[in-house]
Amino acid sequence: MKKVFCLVLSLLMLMAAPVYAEEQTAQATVTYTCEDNFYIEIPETIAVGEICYINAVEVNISPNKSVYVDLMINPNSYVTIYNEADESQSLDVYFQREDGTALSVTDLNLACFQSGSSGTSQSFTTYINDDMTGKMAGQYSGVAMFSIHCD
Amino acid sequence: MTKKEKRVFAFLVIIIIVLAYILLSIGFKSPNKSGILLENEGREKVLNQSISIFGFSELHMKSGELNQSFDFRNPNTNDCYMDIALLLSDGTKLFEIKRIEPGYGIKEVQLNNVLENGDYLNCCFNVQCFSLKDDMQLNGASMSVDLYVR
Repeated sequence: MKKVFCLVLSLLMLMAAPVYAEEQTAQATVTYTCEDNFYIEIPETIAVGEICYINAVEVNISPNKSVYVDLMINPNSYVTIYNEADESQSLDVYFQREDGTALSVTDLNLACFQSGSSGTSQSFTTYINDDMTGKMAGQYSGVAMFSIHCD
Repeated sequence: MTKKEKRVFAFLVIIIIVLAYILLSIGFKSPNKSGILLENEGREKVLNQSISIFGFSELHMKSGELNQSFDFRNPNTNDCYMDIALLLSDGTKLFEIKRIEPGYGIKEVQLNNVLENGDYLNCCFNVQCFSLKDDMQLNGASMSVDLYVR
């Protein structure tokens, strides 16, 4: 009979242990900061005289922030493109926002996207002020650099 | 076994059964499985002849280490290679990676120099794009990024 008692009590002790562990509960606060990130589409090339678009594909940013897309232009407010056959021949390309205002060194912003503006687009156009008389015929091309910042 | 012993034995068996029931009903629950599908490169291109650029405003890196985690993707909707480079505000180039194909990304970079603890504000993250057809340079972007090293 003593053996049976010992066996039963041993079993009870084994089973009591997990019950005790189960009661040891604690609470922890789990925090995670999701950093601002976004996908912005810019045009591959700038076609003079045509409407270009900047698109916010995905804007996952804090509600109090915006994604600004500026254009890096030279101090005279234009981007220079060059004749592909003769790089000494160039044209100055100016930029105009969709509200009709021209881009200048003091105001470089082309587009601004708020949180939740995924799928929206803003446009701009380009134009040339140069007198084309005497300009070499042919294709002119250049690269525009956009400055993107989230503030 | 005497009658008394039998009663005690039966009592103990009942206690064991009750305890087992309690344990099975409130304990030993398997944890819920959880998981997050991270990869999502299938987003549609909204504009034709455009370049989709992945942007961010902050970076976090470890001090005293050359190898750093760094997440950047060239979406598979793009028709261009991407060259990327991260520069401190004084122009020091931390790393540069050339010709990332569409649909490919970066998970880790090797810095040119180890960084000490500190906030490196207004770093410049450059993205230059090149045509898949003829390697002609296309429009690109430069991002202002704050780098926090701990």
